[in-house]
Amino acid sequence: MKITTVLFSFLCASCVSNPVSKPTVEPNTVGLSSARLQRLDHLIDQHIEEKKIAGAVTLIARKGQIAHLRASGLADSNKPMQTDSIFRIVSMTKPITSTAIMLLYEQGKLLLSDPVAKYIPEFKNQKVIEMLPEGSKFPYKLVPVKRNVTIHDLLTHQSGILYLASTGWFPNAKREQIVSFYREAGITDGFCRPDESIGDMVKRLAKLPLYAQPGETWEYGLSVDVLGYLVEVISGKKFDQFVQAEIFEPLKMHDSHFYIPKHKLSRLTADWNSNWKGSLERVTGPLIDGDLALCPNDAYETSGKYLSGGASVLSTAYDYFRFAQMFLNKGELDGVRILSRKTVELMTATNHIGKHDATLLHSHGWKFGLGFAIQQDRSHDVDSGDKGVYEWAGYYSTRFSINPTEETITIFLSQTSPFGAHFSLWDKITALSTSSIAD
Amino acid sequence: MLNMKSTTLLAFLLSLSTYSTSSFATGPRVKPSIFLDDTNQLYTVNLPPFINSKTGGRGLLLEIINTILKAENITGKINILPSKNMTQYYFSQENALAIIGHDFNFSKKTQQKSIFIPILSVDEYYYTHASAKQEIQWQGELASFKNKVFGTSKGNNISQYKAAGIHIKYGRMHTLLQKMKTGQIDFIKSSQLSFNAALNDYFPKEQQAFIKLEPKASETSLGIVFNNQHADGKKSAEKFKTGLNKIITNGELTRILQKHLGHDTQLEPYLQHKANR
Repeated sequence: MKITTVLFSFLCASCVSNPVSKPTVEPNTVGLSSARLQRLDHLIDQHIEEKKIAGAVTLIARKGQIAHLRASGLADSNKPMQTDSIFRIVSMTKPITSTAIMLLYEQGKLLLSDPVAKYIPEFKNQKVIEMLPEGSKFPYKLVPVKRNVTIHDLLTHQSGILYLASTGWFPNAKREQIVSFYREAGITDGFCRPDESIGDMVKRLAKLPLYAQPGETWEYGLSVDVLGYLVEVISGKKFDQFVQAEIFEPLKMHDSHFYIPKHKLSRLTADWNSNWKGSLERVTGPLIDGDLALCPNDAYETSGKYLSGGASVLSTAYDYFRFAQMFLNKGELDGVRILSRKTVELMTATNHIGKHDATLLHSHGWKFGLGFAIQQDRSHDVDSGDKGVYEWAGYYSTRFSINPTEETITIFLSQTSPFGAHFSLWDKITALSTSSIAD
Repeated sequence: MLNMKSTTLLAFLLSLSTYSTSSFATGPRVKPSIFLDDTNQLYTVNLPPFINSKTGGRGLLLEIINTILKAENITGKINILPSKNMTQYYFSQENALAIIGHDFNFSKKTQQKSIFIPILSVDEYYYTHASAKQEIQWQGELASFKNKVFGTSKGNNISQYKAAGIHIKYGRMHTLLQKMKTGQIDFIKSSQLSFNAALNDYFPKEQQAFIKLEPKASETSLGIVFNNQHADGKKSAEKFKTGLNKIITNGELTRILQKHLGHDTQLEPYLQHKANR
């Protein structure tokens, strides 16, 4: 009886826990086709040969095992890419920050329905902009919020807080006016590392008007940077220290950092400017395009004050795989529980944005959870293999995708600007990853 | 017959029914009204060391103003905003009681509803970076900056610079200093106190690299503008003038200046400055 119980417990534990190891397994042992995975290699190699990208690391895992981990091309001038090369994962920082918030939620330190003003007083009495007809004596008016911005609004990008770069994506007069306020107030998108604390930025941002009433819009923006500061306020720890102690260390993400340690500088990949037609140049200075300011070389700074919850983390394919596998395992990895199963379900399996669609990186048919875009149907343009797939991406061309049904994780890391040309490559990578499933 | 326990229970139940139903209703937990107040609003922007949001909304000028507001029983909440454009909006469109600062750059229409009370007179200088100094020949005429790049904050009057063929770039002080260091901006204008405060904050180890150009560029008056369209505007302005005169006469203003600046004499009360001229 006792032996049966122990055996049952052991078997049961192995059901929910998928321990991972860095060495890869043969794809067929986890139901993936080696031949079909080679199509992914060809796709990446072709892009490198055509000088559309300089290099990349790709990782495909299934059932907790890495079946494909490949480095190709260059990490820097005359330096080959390595599987442990370190990348600016930029907006792939956001799921990490959302996880930090949910850790505090699970500790009973906050509710998702809490107004942000409860913790950051500058968010009291916020105003929303309304543009007035041309020829009016003042171009806009400011109206009170109907309700305060909540933590849930920030997690789901429904706060009405924008990115400056959004003027280039969806130009209109109202957006221009908001971004004009941001510029005047010295707000940046977090793709550079200004010499100030994130709290200084957030307090100024809070006093500027919102683009729309909280909850009435889906606008990708600086909301997650606010969450990073919120972690500091609620936990009493610096944001990077909290993430290090509560996420990176327990998950053994040893190569994930907000500021890179000096001894790892040689592993940091360069950013490349690509015209997508064969001209590829290593980026040496800031990239300024209208309201978008990118400072890829700020990532070489080994210390600093700015801790962007939306953009600051540097990481490797393997480290991000461990983070993603924790989610795929419903909150735990290698016996260490980070989040409860129910919290992971809340973050990943639920549409939190109502009638809106998360079309920024995807298309209609994609909704948004708490830190991820979630595929809701298979009848629209961007298909990542199943309903319920959740994923996000980063500005220097990085993307991850988690398919809970098939237990697959797909990670693509490159460092290429500009951003917009990469959608087709990303979508092909998830298509090839999905179609390599062979059981 | 009701026994004692039943009577107590009945009384308790009856007492519950006397509460308004809304006391028990589950309404929206967060309403804007929780945070709204209806006091008079005054607006300004950050301008260390005169107005400093990082020190809990204090600073030299705000201490003077708060002293007068308190002494003269003028009620109002001072809001430090990160945008001058917004302060002008609240003043001209939302009937704010007052705005605080300098170089308000009002339209004619807004000027008509303004009662400006200058408090401090400040000399302003042009500043450049050592790397650009050789190419800068400032002798008091803006024409000497032709084709150079002037850095300033949004909302400031730039017409004279444009007329002199000078290019304009906008930014906060921090950004302007960074751009001046990297050669994207050739010169900016600031009071010495504000410039030194910014250098202390952002470039404490590089102060020698930023150079003040003589002679002085201009004078400006820091003060408060009351809104005569506001129900309390005119009355508050009169009370404020009275209060300002009182703290000049009784030495309180000098005490505040000395508290912030020691015996630095680069600042003087506007009225004293006017009398000295």
